[in-house]
Amino acid sequence: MADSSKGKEKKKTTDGATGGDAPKDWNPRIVGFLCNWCSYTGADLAGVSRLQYTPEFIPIRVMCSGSVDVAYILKAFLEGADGVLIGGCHLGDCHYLNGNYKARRRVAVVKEVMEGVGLDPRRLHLEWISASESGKFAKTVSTFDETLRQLGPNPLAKERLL
Amino acid sequence: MAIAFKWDLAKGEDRDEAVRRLLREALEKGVVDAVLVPAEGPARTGIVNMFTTDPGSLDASAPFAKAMAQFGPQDLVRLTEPGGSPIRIAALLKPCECRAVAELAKINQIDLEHVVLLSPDCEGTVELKEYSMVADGQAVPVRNACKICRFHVARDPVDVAIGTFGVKDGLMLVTNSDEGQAFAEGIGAKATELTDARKKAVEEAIVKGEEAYGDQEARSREKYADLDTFLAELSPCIKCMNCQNVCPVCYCKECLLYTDAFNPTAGSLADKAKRRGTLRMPVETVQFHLTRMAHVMTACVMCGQCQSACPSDIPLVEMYAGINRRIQDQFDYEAGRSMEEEPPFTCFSEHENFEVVGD
Amino acid sequence: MPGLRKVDRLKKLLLILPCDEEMEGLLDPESLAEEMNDPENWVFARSDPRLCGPDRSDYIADLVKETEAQAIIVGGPSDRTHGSVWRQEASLVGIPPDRVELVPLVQQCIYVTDEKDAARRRAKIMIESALARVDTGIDRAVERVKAMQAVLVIGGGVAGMQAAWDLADFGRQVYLVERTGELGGRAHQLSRTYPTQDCKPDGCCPQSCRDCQFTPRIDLVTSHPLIELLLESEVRSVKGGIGGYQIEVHSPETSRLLEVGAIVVATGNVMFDAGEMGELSPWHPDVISFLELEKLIDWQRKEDRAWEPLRRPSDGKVPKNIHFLQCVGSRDEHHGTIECSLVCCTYAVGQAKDLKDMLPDATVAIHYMDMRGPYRGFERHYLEAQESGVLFMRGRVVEIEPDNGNLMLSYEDIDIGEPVTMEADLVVLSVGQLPTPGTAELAQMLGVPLDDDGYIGEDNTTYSLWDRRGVYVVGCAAGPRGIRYSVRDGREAALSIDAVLRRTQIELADNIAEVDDERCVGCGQCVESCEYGAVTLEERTDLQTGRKYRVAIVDPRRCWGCGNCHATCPSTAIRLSGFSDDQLVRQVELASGGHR
Ligand SMILES: Cc1cc2nc3c(=O)[nH]c(=O)nc-3n(C[C@H](O)[C@H](O)[C@H](O)COP(=O)(O)OP(=O)(O)OC[C@H]3O[C@@H](n4cnc5c(N)ncnc54)[C@H](O)[C@@H]3O)c2cc1C
Ligand code: SF4
Ligand code: SF4
Ligand code: SF4
Ligand code: SF4
Ligand code: SF4
Ligand code: FES
Repeated sequence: MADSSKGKEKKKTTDGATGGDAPKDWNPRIVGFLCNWCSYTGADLAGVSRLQYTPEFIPIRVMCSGSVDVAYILKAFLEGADGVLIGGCHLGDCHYLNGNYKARRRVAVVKEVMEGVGLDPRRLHLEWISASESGKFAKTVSTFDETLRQLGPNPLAKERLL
Repeated sequence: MAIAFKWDLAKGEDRDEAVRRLLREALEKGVVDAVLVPAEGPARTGIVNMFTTDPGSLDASAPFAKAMAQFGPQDLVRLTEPGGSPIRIAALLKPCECRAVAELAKINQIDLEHVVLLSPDCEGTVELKEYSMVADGQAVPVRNACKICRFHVARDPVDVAIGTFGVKDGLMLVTNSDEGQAFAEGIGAKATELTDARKKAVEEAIVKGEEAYGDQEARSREKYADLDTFLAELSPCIKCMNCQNVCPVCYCKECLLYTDAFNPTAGSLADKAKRRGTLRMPVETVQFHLTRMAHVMTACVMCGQCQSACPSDIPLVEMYAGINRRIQDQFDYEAGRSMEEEPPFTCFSEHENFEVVGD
Repeated sequence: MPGLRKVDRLKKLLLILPCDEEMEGLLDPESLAEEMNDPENWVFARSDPRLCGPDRSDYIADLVKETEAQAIIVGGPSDRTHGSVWRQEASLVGIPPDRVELVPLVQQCIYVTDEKDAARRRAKIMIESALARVDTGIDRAVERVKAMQAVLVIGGGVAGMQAAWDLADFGRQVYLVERTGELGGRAHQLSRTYPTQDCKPDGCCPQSCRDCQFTPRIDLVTSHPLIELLLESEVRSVKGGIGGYQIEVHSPETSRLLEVGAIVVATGNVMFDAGEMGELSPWHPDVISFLELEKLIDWQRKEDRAWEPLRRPSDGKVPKNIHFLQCVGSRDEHHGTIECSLVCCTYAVGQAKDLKDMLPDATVAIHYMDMRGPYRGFERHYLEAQESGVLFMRGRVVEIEPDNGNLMLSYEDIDIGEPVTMEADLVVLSVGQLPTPGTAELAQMLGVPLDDDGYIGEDNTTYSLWDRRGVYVVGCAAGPRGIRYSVRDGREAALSIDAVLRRTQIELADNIAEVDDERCVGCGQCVESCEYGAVTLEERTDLQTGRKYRVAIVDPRRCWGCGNCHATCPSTAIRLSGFSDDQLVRQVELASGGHR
């Protein structure tokens, strides 16, 4: 807790981070769990269509949004990610029938846990993005990036002894 | 439907003694083959669970003990594991323990087929280490978890609630199942009416519990609105995993946090340290706590055993109070409320949690 | 426990493809390869135009030899588009599929930003992540299952008959299960089929068109010694998976248990019931569907009175004014399906022309939205109909009202853009096609997905040798299609199945869930979360202590590799190969950026 930010002035956001705390060259780092069948393909298409979004978004391919373990999401934050995006198929379109519904429950729980310990739940974002929605993909990442800029850096990122 | 039975006090008997007699009766009349019940440990300095088939040894039992023994639900896991002899067990546990039993039964860890769950109304328990003071007659405050308990009276999956609230003399056995009814009849209890006094007392206990919990929930949410509080409070955690170990619903054989992925080998530790600059040892303390919250909050019965077992006095109950009910409410779920409710991570409803997406 | 051995660090060949000039300009693959090259840590990075050239395979073989690589990481294309290609490429040099990683630099990196530095940084993270994936992966012992050689065909229409016939011809025992009492299916109910004349399974055709040779014949299928016909029968339960299915088949008299290695689903489809479209007066005896028209014609043929003109149902009058309505319950958002039913135009044009030939004085008209004849030979057939005097009117009829013994049609004529009314004395509804009732239950039993429109999805992998399901959907069970294509489906399935089963052992590749017995407490949450019934709980006895315990087991043949079980199991006792905690956690660490 040596470099805890206790005592610093904090505003609005729940997790005590503020955009103002951000170092100059800070760009929000986003970890993206993308479902193979939809969002990952949507991301492929976005690239081919030359849609741009923040290069700080790093994709991780998963087979289904329903396979994303809560421990991975939490791990990302503890490793300093400013945001986590989970991209799944639209409801009813999950390649495996309903993995996305289960993902939605897990995300609901993780968001509550985050809020309960003071990490802003807006740092976790679930979105249904189909394989053809390259525009939605790029827009989602960009809007999320914007949100994270307002939230400021993940306060866990500066804690070393977690 | 709840059917009530009377269990009067015999001359000179107190309530503890009356329940002992009830259990003896059950064994002697062959209603059950064995009993699991709290008892005072040696020198009356602690409470443990005793498992017995001998009516005579029930003298040492302490049905209304003001402290909670460890591992009651876990004992039932062991006692009903597959291949065990199918003995009929009467298990007398606190209401929160019973709710944990229900959670474990839902996930195949306890086989309730030959178990009758009994649970006396609970006014709260003190820390185990303070039990000797209670035994000496001193006034000791109950544990945090008990102060905000919403379930002082056992409900549904419990076969027989042993009622004292709103019951003037003797005990009222409120049965919630056919098995419970058969048990009460088997020991020769007389059917009676659920009195208004009883109903009112239970109502009041619930209202008071909800209020207390609600207040704590609000305080917790405010307290942990800021991540620093949470981190600061976890600072003294020694990652002994006691909280995980005693938790009835943290049921894994080996916690995820012990696997290589989260408990890296020497080589990858060095790698990690290099990348991060520094590592807290043992690693992944906060990861452990957050993961545990995500894993067990849907099933957590707020028994507070985790906090009681913590050598560093980390206020886990306070932390959980801010999210426990909120999480379960999201799924219209309440840990231990009903055997019909499926554990939230194995099912879903199409019409829920819309706000979670794209928000 | 097979499959749980951890891969030690591997020698990794990293190939960064210089896909095109743009890639070269933005990422400079050559210098990136130089930078990533780290022989000390067993990363051998190369970028060379030969990787995108015709002798790529030779070049890669040389590289693998030189570096002794055990894994290949390809920087450039996405797994979604090029995964199977590169896995094949790797298998040529003896590298198993789970040791091939693709990094989508083209799709997900170079165009994402204009900042070259940022793109390069990102590329490096993505590559490192892939390198880490192979190093932390689980070396999956390949599951092998024995292949039973018999095959089950469900449904005895032309598609199922063809599959059965070919499979039997290959020397396989075939069980052909048919719900009704006779073979032939839909095609058998049609008096004539188009655009060719009589490619029908009863085989008494006066024409000599080539398609006939392709249509299976009921008599031949019935008498084939290797085909066992199970008429009036239905599949009740399905257990097992590719190579070893146990199928319970019920008929009114008996119940049989069949053991087969693969299954052909040829259950066809059904016709839309226009009853729900009250505005078209479907209850009226003179508003009939295709099949009712068939019956009128059939009656005529059976009685051997081909000279006798067709008569309408209500009063036996010879119709003078016959109107066909296309797309009833097809291409409709409110009724039937929004999809095209594909054969109705062809069929209606044919019937209309035949009626016109039969009743030269009658008006025969077809009301259509647009003519769709996805069939070679259709255009000529269409022109012939026009020449013989069939009227084609573009527009959707919105109402049919009985009027003085006749019928009054109202519709908007698209060509003139005005509402029109018109009299008819016989209306034929070209009703659309819908999935056979019970399809969802059958799909559930077989563990195969349904498409959005309720038909069984065609899911078999590109390479039949990688097939893990052993379930082939043919003919109209996979959506409407003509006879020729249904028959061809049956033939293709037979060929694929023969290829798959011919190996007596089937290797199950791809991602499959595996249970670590040591960690599993038998809670069954994974069982609940698996939509395919691939996980079950099993009671076991510890041989040393005699203690009984419960663990989850996965039937690899039923697992689809979604990983939902893994995310449900708190202690990661069940995991998806290729997506283990070690891999994902490592990826997350790399992606998260560490600490600042
Ligand atoms: C009105 C109409 C006109 C057509 N006209 C033409 C045309 O002119 N030219 C052309 O090329 N095509 C035409 N077609 C299409 C053609 O009929 C089909 O392509 C072909 O018959 C499909 O054959 P199939 O074997 O896939 O299915 P079907 O012929 O439908 O056979 C399916 C069989 O499976 C059986 N079955 C169903 N469910 C089960 C079950 N659960 N268990 C056991 N058995 C089951 C059914 O009883 C049936 O025998 C027309 C179709 C229709 C509806
Ligand atoms: S924290 Fe999670 S993984 Fe660990 S024992 Fe509890 S439920 Fe299992
Ligand atoms: S987390 Fe703590 S309060 Fe909740 S059930 Fe476990 S031990 Fe009891
Ligand atoms: S019991 Fe206390 S010290 Fe031990 S791991 Fe849990 S919180 Fe940390
Ligand atoms: S694999 Fe996990 S979820 Fe499945 S039964 Fe075992 S412990 Fe439970
Ligand atoms: S990976 Fe998916 S299909 Fe396979 S066992 Fe797990 S839940 Fe079932
Ligand atoms: S397959 Fe995309 S969310 Fe399940």
